Amino acid sequence: MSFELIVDLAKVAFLIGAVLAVVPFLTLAERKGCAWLQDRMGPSRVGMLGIGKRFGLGQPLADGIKLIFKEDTVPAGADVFLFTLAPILVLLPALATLIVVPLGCDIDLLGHRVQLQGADLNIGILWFLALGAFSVYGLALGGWASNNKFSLMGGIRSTAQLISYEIALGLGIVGVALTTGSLSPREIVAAQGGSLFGVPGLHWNLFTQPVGFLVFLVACFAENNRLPFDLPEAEPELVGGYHTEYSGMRFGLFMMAENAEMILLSALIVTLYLGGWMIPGVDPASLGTGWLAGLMTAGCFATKVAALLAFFILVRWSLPRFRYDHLMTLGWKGLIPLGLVNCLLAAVVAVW
Amino acid sequence: MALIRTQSTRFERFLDALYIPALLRGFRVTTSHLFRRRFTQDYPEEKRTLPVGYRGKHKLNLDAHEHVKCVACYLCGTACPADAILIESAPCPPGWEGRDRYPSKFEIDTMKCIYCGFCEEACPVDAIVLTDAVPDVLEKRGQFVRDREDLVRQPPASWKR
Repeated sequence: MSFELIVDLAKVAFLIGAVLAVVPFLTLAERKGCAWLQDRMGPSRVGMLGIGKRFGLGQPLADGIKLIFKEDTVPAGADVFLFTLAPILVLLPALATLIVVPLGCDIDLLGHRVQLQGADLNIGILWFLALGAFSVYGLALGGWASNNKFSLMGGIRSTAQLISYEIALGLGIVGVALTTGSLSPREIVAAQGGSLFGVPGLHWNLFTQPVGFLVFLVACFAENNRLPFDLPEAEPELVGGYHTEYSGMRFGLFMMAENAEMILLSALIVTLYLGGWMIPGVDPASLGTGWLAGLMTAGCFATKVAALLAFFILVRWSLPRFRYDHLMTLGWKGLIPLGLVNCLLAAVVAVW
Repeated sequence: MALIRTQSTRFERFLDALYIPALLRGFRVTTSHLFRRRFTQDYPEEKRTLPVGYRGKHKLNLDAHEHVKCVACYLCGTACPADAILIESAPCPPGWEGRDRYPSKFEIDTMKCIYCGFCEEACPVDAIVLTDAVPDVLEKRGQFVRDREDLVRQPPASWKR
Protein backbone atom coordinates (compact mmCIF):
# COMPACT_ATOMS: atom_id res chain seq x y z
CA MET A 1 0.00 0.00 0.00
CA SER A 2 1.31 3.37 -0.93
CA PHE A 3 1.74 6.13 1.63
CA GLU A 4 -0.94 8.28 -0.01
CA LEU A 5 -3.54 5.51 0.21
CA ILE A 6 -2.83 4.94 3.90
CA VAL A 7 -3.06 8.67 4.59
CA ASP A 8 -6.34 8.95 2.68
CA LEU A 9 -7.87 6.02 4.55
CA ALA A 10 -6.67 7.47 7.86
CA LYS A 11 -8.22 10.85 7.00
CA VAL A 12 -11.57 9.30 6.11
CA ALA A 13 -11.53 7.17 9.26
CA PHE A 14 -10.66 10.20 11.34
CA LEU A 15 -13.39 12.40 9.85
CA ILE A 16 -16.18 9.84 10.24
CA GLY A 17 -14.91 8.81 13.66
CA ALA A 18 -14.67 12.41 14.81
CA VAL A 19 -18.20 13.26 13.70
CA LEU A 20 -19.68 10.10 15.22
CA ALA A 21 -17.79 10.79 18.44
CA VAL A 22 -18.83 14.43 18.67
CA VAL A 23 -22.49 13.87 17.79
CA PRO A 24 -23.48 12.17 21.10
CA PHE A 25 -21.79 14.90 23.09
CA LEU A 26 -23.54 17.48 20.98
CA THR A 27 -26.86 16.06 22.17
CA LEU A 28 -25.56 16.42 25.72
CA ALA A 29 -24.42 20.00 25.04
CA GLU A 30 -27.85 20.68 23.60
CA ARG A 31 -29.61 19.43 26.72
CA LYS A 32 -27.19 21.11 29.10
CA GLY A 33 -27.29 24.38 27.18
CA CYS A 34 -31.07 24.31 27.10
CA ALA A 35 -31.16 23.66 30.84
CA TRP A 36 -28.77 26.50 31.63
CA LEU A 37 -30.72 28.92 29.46
CA GLN A 38 -33.87 27.97 31.36
CA ASP A 39 -32.31 28.20 34.86
CA ARG A 40 -32.35 24.41 35.21
CA MET A 41 -29.59 21.86 35.76
CA GLY A 42 -29.93 19.39 32.91
CA PRO A 43 -28.62 15.82 32.94
CA SER A 44 -26.69 15.24 36.17
CA ARG A 45 -27.21 11.58 37.03
CA VAL A 46 -24.82 9.60 34.82
CA GLY A 47 -21.05 9.97 34.87
CA MET A 48 -18.47 8.24 32.75
CA LEU A 49 -16.02 5.95 34.60
CA GLY A 50 -16.96 7.72 37.80
CA ILE A 51 -16.17 11.24 36.62
CA GLY A 52 -18.26 14.09 35.29
CA LYS A 53 -21.49 12.99 36.96
CA ARG A 54 -22.48 16.58 37.60
CA PHE A 55 -22.19 17.27 33.89
CA GLY A 56 -23.98 14.10 32.82
CA LEU A 57 -20.91 12.97 30.91
CA GLY A 58 -22.24 9.42 30.58
CA GLN A 59 -25.67 10.56 29.39
CA PRO A 60 -24.92 10.16 25.64
CA LEU A 61 -23.81 6.57 26.25
CA ALA A 62 -26.89 5.84 28.35
CA ASP A 63 -29.11 7.35 25.66
CA GLY A 64 -27.41 5.24 23.01
CA ILE A 65 -27.86 2.03 24.99
CA LYS A 66 -31.51 2.89 25.59
CA LEU A 67 -32.12 3.56 21.90
CA ILE A 68 -30.45 0.31 20.83
CA PHE A 69 -32.48 -1.81 23.22
CA LYS A 70 -35.80 -0.11 22.54
CA GLU A 71 -38.35 -2.00 20.48
CA ASP A 72 -37.97 -1.13 16.83
CA THR A 73 -41.55 -0.84 15.64
CA VAL A 74 -42.64 -0.70 12.01
CA PRO A 75 -46.18 0.62 11.59
CA ALA A 76 -48.77 -1.53 9.84
CA GLY A 77 -49.02 -0.68 6.17
CA ALA A 78 -45.58 0.93 6.10
CA ASP A 79 -43.26 0.43 3.17
CA VAL A 80 -40.57 -1.45 5.06
CA PHE A 81 -37.80 -0.96 2.49
CA LEU A 82 -38.24 2.82 2.25
CA PHE A 83 -38.89 3.02 5.99
CA THR A 84 -35.45 1.50 6.63
CA LEU A 85 -33.76 3.41 3.84
CA ALA A 86 -34.90 6.88 4.92
CA PRO A 87 -32.74 7.40 8.04
CA ILE A 88 -29.70 6.03 6.20
CA LEU A 89 -30.31 8.44 3.34
CA VAL A 90 -30.33 11.33 5.79
CA LEU A 91 -27.22 10.30 7.70
CA LEU A 92 -24.92 9.28 4.84
CA PRO A 93 -24.70 12.64 3.01
CA ALA A 94 -24.05 14.44 6.29
CA LEU A 95 -21.06 12.16 6.92
CA ALA A 96 -19.82 12.11 3.33
CA THR A 97 -19.84 15.86 2.74
CA LEU A 98 -17.32 16.67 5.43
CA ILE A 99 -14.40 15.32 3.39
CA VAL A 100 -14.21 18.51 1.30
CA VAL A 101 -13.75 20.77 4.32
CA PRO A 102 -10.13 21.85 4.91
CA LEU A 103 -9.31 21.38 8.59
CA GLY A 104 -5.87 23.01 8.69
CA CYS A 105 -2.80 24.06 6.73
CA ASP A 106 -0.58 21.56 4.86
CA ILE A 107 1.93 19.68 6.97
CA ASP A 108 5.05 17.64 6.25
CA LEU A 109 4.65 14.06 7.49
CA LEU A 110 7.50 11.56 7.05
CA GLY A 111 8.84 13.51 4.10
CA HIS A 112 5.47 13.81 2.38
CA ARG A 113 3.29 16.89 2.01
CA VAL A 114 -0.08 16.05 3.58
CA GLN A 115 -3.22 18.17 3.27
CA LEU A 116 -5.41 18.36 6.34
CA GLN A 117 -8.48 17.82 4.20
CA GLY A 118 -10.33 14.62 3.31
CA ALA A 119 -10.12 15.21 -0.42
CA ASP A 120 -9.13 18.32 -2.34
CA LEU A 121 -12.03 18.38 -4.81
CA ASN A 122 -11.91 21.40 -7.10
CA ILE A 123 -15.73 21.26 -7.16
CA GLY A 124 -16.00 20.71 -3.41
CA ILE A 125 -18.82 23.21 -2.98
CA LEU A 126 -20.88 21.51 -5.68
CA TRP A 127 -20.24 18.19 -3.94
CA PHE A 128 -21.76 19.71 -0.80
CA LEU A 129 -24.80 21.07 -2.65
CA ALA A 130 -25.36 17.80 -4.50
CA LEU A 131 -25.17 15.61 -1.40
CA GLY A 132 -26.94 18.16 0.77
CA ALA A 133 -29.98 17.90 -1.47
CA PHE A 134 -30.01 14.16 -0.77
CA SER A 135 -31.25 14.59 2.78
CA VAL A 136 -34.54 15.90 1.35
CA TYR A 137 -35.13 12.41 -0.05
CA GLY A 138 -34.56 10.90 3.36
CA LEU A 139 -37.06 13.15 5.10
CA ALA A 140 -39.68 12.93 2.35
CA LEU A 141 -39.35 9.13 2.08
CA GLY A 142 -39.44 8.74 5.86
CA GLY A 143 -42.69 10.70 5.91
CA TRP A 144 -44.14 8.78 2.98
CA ALA A 145 -43.16 5.28 4.10
CA SER A 146 -44.60 5.69 7.63
CA ASN A 147 -48.22 5.39 6.43
CA ASN A 148 -49.22 8.22 8.76
CA LYS A 149 -50.80 11.51 7.78
CA PHE A 150 -48.73 13.56 10.21
CA SER A 151 -45.51 12.01 8.92
CA LEU A 152 -46.56 12.70 5.37
CA MET A 153 -47.32 16.33 6.24
CA GLY A 154 -43.87 16.61 7.80
CA GLY A 155 -42.28 15.07 4.72
CA ILE A 156 -44.12 17.45 2.40
CA ARG A 157 -43.24 20.44 4.53
CA SER A 158 -39.60 19.46 4.63
CA THR A 159 -39.53 19.05 0.85
CA ALA A 160 -41.00 22.50 0.27
CA GLN A 161 -38.81 24.13 2.90
CA LEU A 162 -35.54 22.51 1.94
CA ILE A 163 -35.99 23.15 -1.78
CA SER A 164 -36.93 26.80 -1.14
CA TYR A 165 -33.96 27.44 1.09
CA GLU A 166 -31.54 25.53 -1.13
CA ILE A 167 -31.79 28.52 -3.47
CA ALA A 168 -30.84 30.97 -0.74
CA LEU A 169 -28.07 28.59 0.32
CA GLY A 170 -26.76 28.47 -3.24
CA LEU A 171 -26.92 32.24 -3.59
CA GLY A 172 -24.94 32.60 -0.38
CA ILE A 173 -22.27 30.37 -1.91
CA VAL A 174 -22.29 32.08 -5.33
CA GLY A 175 -21.22 35.39 -3.82
CA VAL A 176 -18.16 33.77 -2.26
CA ALA A 177 -17.40 31.73 -5.38
CA LEU A 178 -17.53 34.90 -7.52
CA THR A 179 -15.05 36.90 -5.46
CA THR A 180 -12.75 33.90 -4.97
CA GLY A 181 -13.03 32.68 -8.55
CA SER A 182 -13.08 29.05 -7.45
CA LEU A 183 -15.40 26.33 -6.16
CA SER A 184 -12.65 24.59 -4.22
CA PRO A 185 -13.01 25.02 -0.45
CA ARG A 186 -9.23 25.00 -0.23
CA GLU A 187 -8.94 28.02 -2.53
CA ILE A 188 -11.77 29.79 -0.74
CA VAL A 189 -9.99 29.44 2.60
CA ALA A 190 -6.67 30.49 1.08
CA ALA A 191 -8.32 33.63 -0.34
CA GLN A 192 -9.40 34.62 3.16
CA GLY A 193 -5.83 34.67 4.48
CA GLY A 194 -5.10 38.25 3.40
CA SER A 195 -5.00 41.16 5.79
CA LEU A 196 -7.92 43.39 6.66
CA PHE A 197 -7.76 46.54 8.84
CA GLY A 198 -4.02 45.80 9.06
CA VAL A 199 -4.61 42.41 10.74
CA PRO A 200 -3.22 39.50 8.70
CA GLY A 201 -5.37 36.38 8.31
CA LEU A 202 -8.58 38.35 8.84
CA HIS A 203 -9.73 38.92 5.27
CA TRP A 204 -12.82 36.86 6.02
CA ASN A 205 -15.81 36.88 3.71
CA LEU A 206 -17.90 37.73 6.76
CA PHE A 207 -16.45 41.26 6.65
CA THR A 208 -16.46 41.67 2.88
CA GLN A 209 -19.93 40.17 2.31
CA PRO A 210 -21.98 40.53 5.52
CA VAL A 211 -25.27 40.26 3.62
CA GLY A 212 -24.20 37.04 1.97
CA PHE A 213 -23.18 35.69 5.38
CA LEU A 214 -26.59 36.49 6.81
CA VAL A 215 -28.38 34.82 3.91
CA PHE A 216 -26.17 31.73 4.12
CA LEU A 217 -26.50 31.48 7.91
CA VAL A 218 -30.29 31.65 7.87
CA ALA A 219 -30.47 29.20 4.97
CA CYS A 220 -28.23 26.82 6.94
CA PHE A 221 -30.64 26.90 9.87
CA ALA A 222 -33.50 26.10 7.52
CA GLU A 223 -31.56 23.29 5.79
CA ASN A 224 -30.85 21.75 9.17
CA ASN A 225 -34.58 21.72 10.13
CA ARG A 226 -33.71 23.37 13.40
CA LEU A 227 -35.69 25.92 15.30
CA PRO A 228 -36.84 28.52 14.31
CA PHE A 229 -37.34 26.56 11.07
CA ASP A 230 -38.23 23.11 12.43
CA LEU A 231 -41.61 22.99 10.69
CA PRO A 232 -41.07 19.47 9.28
CA GLU A 233 -41.06 18.09 12.82
CA ALA A 234 -43.18 20.75 14.56
CA GLU A 235 -44.27 18.76 17.63
CA PRO A 236 -47.41 20.73 18.57
CA GLU A 237 -48.83 20.56 15.05
CA LEU A 238 -47.49 17.33 13.58
CA VAL A 239 -46.71 15.16 16.63
CA GLY A 240 -43.10 14.97 15.44
CA GLY A 241 -43.49 15.17 11.68
CA TYR A 242 -41.56 12.78 9.48
CA HIS A 243 -40.15 10.80 12.43
CA THR A 244 -43.46 10.33 14.27
CA GLU A 245 -43.47 6.58 13.59
CA TYR A 246 -39.78 5.99 14.14
CA SER A 247 -38.48 4.41 17.32
CA GLY A 248 -35.32 2.83 18.63
CA MET A 249 -32.14 3.16 16.67
CA ARG A 250 -33.90 4.22 13.45
CA PHE A 251 -35.05 7.30 15.29
CA GLY A 252 -31.53 7.54 16.71
CA LEU A 253 -30.18 7.67 13.15
CA PHE A 254 -32.44 10.64 12.36
CA MET A 255 -31.20 12.43 15.46
CA MET A 256 -27.59 11.58 14.65
CA ALA A 257 -28.10 12.89 11.13
CA GLU A 258 -29.52 16.15 12.40
CA ASN A 259 -26.57 16.67 14.71
CA ALA A 260 -24.00 15.56 12.13
CA GLU A 261 -25.54 18.00 9.68
CA MET A 262 -25.28 20.71 12.30
CA ILE A 263 -21.54 20.05 12.57
CA LEU A 264 -21.20 19.91 8.80
CA LEU A 265 -23.05 23.19 8.26
CA SER A 266 -21.02 24.89 10.98
CA ALA A 267 -17.85 23.67 9.29
CA LEU A 268 -19.08 25.03 5.96
CA ILE A 269 -20.04 28.41 7.39
CA VAL A 270 -16.56 28.60 8.91
CA THR A 271 -14.96 27.58 5.61
CA LEU A 272 -16.94 29.95 3.43
CA TYR A 273 -17.33 33.01 5.63
CA LEU A 274 -15.27 32.79 8.82
CA GLY A 275 -11.84 32.23 7.30
CA GLY A 276 -11.60 28.43 7.66
CA TRP A 277 -8.49 27.53 9.62
CA MET A 278 -6.97 31.03 9.39
CA ILE A 279 -5.81 32.33 12.76
CA PRO A 280 -6.54 36.07 13.11
CA GLY A 281 -3.30 38.00 13.49
CA VAL A 282 -1.12 35.27 11.97
CA ASP A 283 0.03 35.54 8.37
CA PRO A 284 -0.67 32.11 6.79
CA ALA A 285 2.56 32.35 4.75
CA SER A 286 4.59 32.49 7.97
CA LEU A 287 3.05 29.30 9.41
CA GLY A 288 5.27 26.89 7.48
CA THR A 289 4.45 23.19 7.27
CA GLY A 290 5.38 21.89 10.69
CA TRP A 291 3.05 19.64 12.62
CA LEU A 292 2.66 22.34 15.28
CA ALA A 293 1.29 24.75 12.66
CA GLY A 294 -1.10 22.03 11.53
CA LEU A 295 -2.24 21.46 15.10
CA MET A 296 -2.73 25.18 15.74
CA THR A 297 -4.71 25.82 12.57
CA ALA A 298 -6.86 22.73 13.14
CA GLY A 299 -7.45 23.89 16.71
CA CYS A 300 -8.50 27.31 15.46
CA PHE A 301 -10.89 25.67 13.01
CA ALA A 302 -12.36 23.48 15.76
CA THR A 303 -12.80 26.51 18.03
CA LYS A 304 -14.72 28.40 15.36
CA VAL A 305 -16.93 25.37 14.70
CA ALA A 306 -17.58 24.93 18.42
CA ALA A 307 -18.54 28.60 18.76
CA LEU A 308 -20.98 28.25 15.87
CA LEU A 309 -22.47 25.10 17.41
CA ALA A 310 -23.01 27.03 20.64
CA PHE A 311 -24.74 29.71 18.59
CA PHE A 312 -26.97 27.07 16.97
CA ILE A 313 -28.01 25.89 20.43
CA LEU A 314 -28.57 29.44 21.69
CA VAL A 315 -30.81 30.20 18.71
CA ARG A 316 -32.78 27.00 19.15
CA TRP A 317 -33.70 27.82 22.74
CA SER A 318 -34.28 31.53 22.12
CA LEU A 319 -36.57 31.82 19.12
CA PRO A 320 -40.10 30.56 18.54
CA ARG A 321 -41.06 28.60 15.44
CA PHE A 322 -42.05 30.42 12.26
CA ARG A 323 -45.51 30.16 10.83
CA TYR A 324 -45.41 28.32 7.52
CA ASP A 325 -46.39 31.29 5.33
CA HIS A 326 -43.90 33.49 7.19
CA LEU A 327 -41.24 30.91 6.49
CA MET A 328 -41.98 30.95 2.79
CA THR A 329 -42.22 34.76 2.74
CA LEU A 330 -38.85 35.06 4.44
CA GLY A 331 -37.31 32.56 2.05
CA TRP A 332 -38.71 33.78 -1.27
CA LYS A 333 -39.26 37.47 -0.64
CA GLY A 334 -36.45 38.11 1.84
CA LEU A 335 -33.46 35.86 1.51
CA ILE A 336 -33.50 35.19 -2.24
CA PRO A 337 -33.63 38.90 -3.28
CA LEU A 338 -30.99 39.70 -0.64
CA GLY A 339 -28.82 36.88 -1.94
CA LEU A 340 -29.26 38.12 -5.52
CA VAL A 341 -28.28 41.68 -4.54
CA ASN A 342 -25.23 40.27 -2.77
CA CYS A 343 -24.32 38.24 -5.86
CA LEU A 344 -24.68 41.34 -8.03
CA LEU A 345 -22.40 43.36 -5.75
CA ALA A 346 -19.90 40.50 -5.60
CA ALA A 347 -19.94 40.23 -9.38
CA VAL A 348 -19.32 43.96 -9.77
CA VAL A 349 -16.43 43.78 -7.31
CA ALA A 350 -15.03 40.66 -8.99
CA VAL A 351 -15.05 42.23 -12.46
CA TRP A 352 -13.90 45.63 -11.31
CA MET B 1 -59.00 50.46 30.97
CA ALA B 2 -58.42 52.70 28.06
CA LEU B 3 -56.80 51.21 24.98
CA ILE B 4 -53.58 53.06 24.27
CA ARG B 5 -52.60 53.14 20.65
CA THR B 6 -48.96 53.75 19.91
CA GLN B 7 -47.97 55.24 16.60
CA SER B 8 -44.90 53.54 15.20
CA THR B 9 -42.78 55.44 12.75
CA ARG B 10 -41.89 54.17 9.31
CA PHE B 11 -38.36 53.49 10.51
CA GLU B 12 -39.58 51.40 13.45
CA ARG B 13 -41.78 49.35 11.17
CA PHE B 14 -38.80 48.81 8.88
CA LEU B 15 -36.70 47.59 11.81
CA ASP B 16 -39.54 45.24 12.79
CA ALA B 17 -39.65 43.76 9.31
CA LEU B 18 -35.89 43.17 9.45
CA TYR B 19 -36.32 40.81 12.47
CA ILE B 20 -32.72 41.53 13.49
CA PRO B 21 -33.21 44.01 16.38
CA ALA B 22 -35.89 41.75 17.86
CA LEU B 23 -33.61 38.73 17.47
CA LEU B 24 -30.76 40.50 19.26
CA ARG B 25 -33.11 41.50 22.09
CA GLY B 26 -34.19 37.87 22.38
CA PHE B 27 -30.62 36.62 22.51
CA ARG B 28 -29.84 39.17 25.21
CA VAL B 29 -32.67 37.84 27.36
CA THR B 30 -31.72 34.17 26.96
CA THR B 31 -28.00 34.84 27.41
CA SER B 32 -28.66 36.74 30.63
CA HIS B 33 -30.44 33.62 31.95
CA LEU B 34 -27.26 31.66 31.31
CA PHE B 35 -25.64 33.41 34.27
CA ARG B 36 -28.57 33.35 36.67
CA ARG B 37 -29.01 31.17 39.74
CA ARG B 38 -30.64 27.88 38.88
CA PHE B 39 -34.00 27.03 40.44
CA THR B 40 -33.56 23.25 40.49
CA GLN B 41 -32.71 21.69 43.83
CA ASP B 42 -30.49 18.69 43.34
CA TYR B 43 -32.51 16.63 45.82
CA PRO B 44 -30.56 13.68 47.22
CA GLU B 45 -27.33 15.68 47.24
CA GLU B 46 -28.87 18.96 48.44
CA LYS B 47 -31.36 18.75 51.31
CA ARG B 48 -34.31 21.09 51.13
CA THR B 49 -34.79 23.69 53.81
CA LEU B 50 -38.22 22.70 55.05
CA PRO B 51 -40.79 25.27 56.12
CA VAL B 52 -41.65 25.61 59.82
CA GLY B 53 -44.53 23.27 60.62
CA TYR B 54 -43.58 20.68 58.02
CA ARG B 55 -45.10 17.32 58.98
CA GLY B 56 -42.80 14.39 58.21
CA LYS B 57 -41.97 11.00 59.74
CA HIS B 58 -43.78 10.02 62.94
CA LYS B 59 -41.97 9.46 66.17
CA LEU B 60 -43.00 7.92 69.51
CA ASN B 61 -41.53 9.73 72.49
CA LEU B 62 -40.17 8.08 75.63
CA ASP B 63 -40.79 9.08 79.23
CA ALA B 64 -38.19 9.78 81.93
CA HIS B 65 -37.68 6.03 82.53
CA GLU B 66 -37.04 5.30 78.85
CA HIS B 67 -40.46 3.69 78.50
CA VAL B 68 -42.89 4.44 75.69
CA LYS B 69 -44.86 7.48 76.75
CA CYS B 70 -48.01 6.23 75.02
CA VAL B 71 -50.80 5.12 77.38
CA ALA B 72 -52.74 3.25 74.68
CA CYS B 73 -55.84 5.43 74.91
CA TYR B 74 -56.75 4.98 71.20
CA LEU B 75 -57.42 8.71 70.80
CA CYS B 76 -54.95 9.06 67.94
CA GLY B 77 -56.35 6.05 66.13
CA THR B 78 -59.85 7.48 66.51
CA ALA B 79 -58.77 10.88 65.25
CA CYS B 80 -56.94 9.44 62.27
CA PRO B 81 -58.97 10.20 59.10
CA ALA B 82 -57.00 7.65 57.09
CA ASP B 83 -57.38 4.84 59.64
CA ALA B 84 -53.63 4.26 59.52
CA ILE B 85 -52.94 3.61 63.19
CA LEU B 86 -53.28 0.17 64.76
CA ILE B 87 -52.91 -0.09 68.54
CA GLU B 88 -53.18 -3.08 70.87
CA SER B 89 -53.40 -2.16 74.52
CA ALA B 90 -51.92 -4.31 77.29
CA PRO B 91 -51.27 -3.96 81.05
CA CYS B 92 -47.85 -2.55 81.80
CA PRO B 93 -45.04 -5.00 82.60
CA PRO B 94 -44.04 -5.00 86.30
CA GLY B 95 -41.76 -2.18 87.34
CA TRP B 96 -43.34 0.61 85.26
CA GLU B 97 -44.05 3.04 88.10
CA GLY B 98 -47.22 5.09 87.93
CA ARG B 99 -48.24 3.50 84.64
CA ASP B 100 -51.30 1.41 83.95
CA ARG B 101 -51.42 0.37 80.30
CA TYR B 102 -49.05 0.54 77.36
CA PRO B 103 -49.31 -0.33 73.64
CA SER B 104 -48.05 -3.88 73.10
CA LYS B 105 -48.49 -3.17 69.41
CA PHE B 106 -48.36 0.24 67.75
CA GLU B 107 -48.27 0.25 63.96
CA ILE B 108 -48.62 3.10 61.51
CA ASP B 109 -49.20 2.25 57.87
CA THR B 110 -47.37 5.16 56.29
CA MET B 111 -48.89 4.29 52.91
CA LYS B 112 -52.32 5.14 54.34
CA CYS B 113 -51.11 8.09 56.43
CA ILE B 114 -51.84 11.51 54.97
CA TYR B 115 -49.56 13.35 57.40
CA CYS B 116 -52.38 15.60 58.67
CA GLY B 117 -51.05 15.74 62.22
CA PHE B 118 -54.43 15.00 63.88
CA CYS B 119 -52.84 12.16 65.89
CA GLU B 120 -50.32 14.58 67.35
CA GLU B 121 -53.10 16.99 68.34
CA ALA B 122 -55.30 14.24 69.79
CA CYS B 123 -52.57 12.74 71.99
CA PRO B 124 -53.12 13.70 75.67
CA VAL B 125 -49.55 12.82 76.73
CA ASP B 126 -47.51 14.13 73.79
CA ALA B 127 -46.40 10.59 72.93
CA ILE B 128 -46.74 10.75 69.15
CA VAL B 129 -45.24 13.63 67.19
CA LEU B 130 -44.61 14.36 63.56
CA THR B 131 -40.99 15.38 62.98
CA ASP B 132 -39.61 17.22 60.00
CA ALA B 133 -37.69 14.15 58.79
CA VAL B 134 -38.65 13.44 55.17
CA PRO B 135 -40.56 10.12 54.83
CA ASP B 136 -38.50 7.23 53.41
CA VAL B 137 -38.69 5.84 49.94
CA LEU B 138 -38.84 2.04 50.17
CA GLU B 139 -39.16 -0.83 47.75
CA LYS B 140 -41.88 -3.09 49.18
CA ARG B 141 -45.36 -2.30 50.48
CA GLY B 142 -44.76 -4.15 53.75
CA GLN B 143 -41.80 -1.95 54.58
CA PHE B 144 -44.08 1.06 54.84
CA VAL B 145 -45.80 -0.31 57.96
CA ARG B 146 -43.76 1.04 60.87
CA ASP B 147 -43.96 -0.83 64.19
CA ARG B 148 -43.44 0.47 67.72
CA GLU B 149 -39.70 -0.18 67.89
CA ASP B 150 -39.15 1.56 64.60
CA LEU B 151 -41.28 4.54 65.63
CA VAL B 152 -39.23 4.93 68.81
CA ARG B 153 -35.87 4.36 67.13
CA GLN B 154 -36.03 6.68 64.15
CA PRO B 155 -35.93 9.50 63.60
CA PRO B 156 -33.52 9.59 66.59
CA ALA B 157 -34.55 11.01 69.95
CA SER B 158 -32.70 14.25 69.29
CA TRP B 159 -35.06 14.92 66.40
CA LYS B 160 -37.72 16.84 68.29
CA ARG B 161 -39.49 19.87 67.11
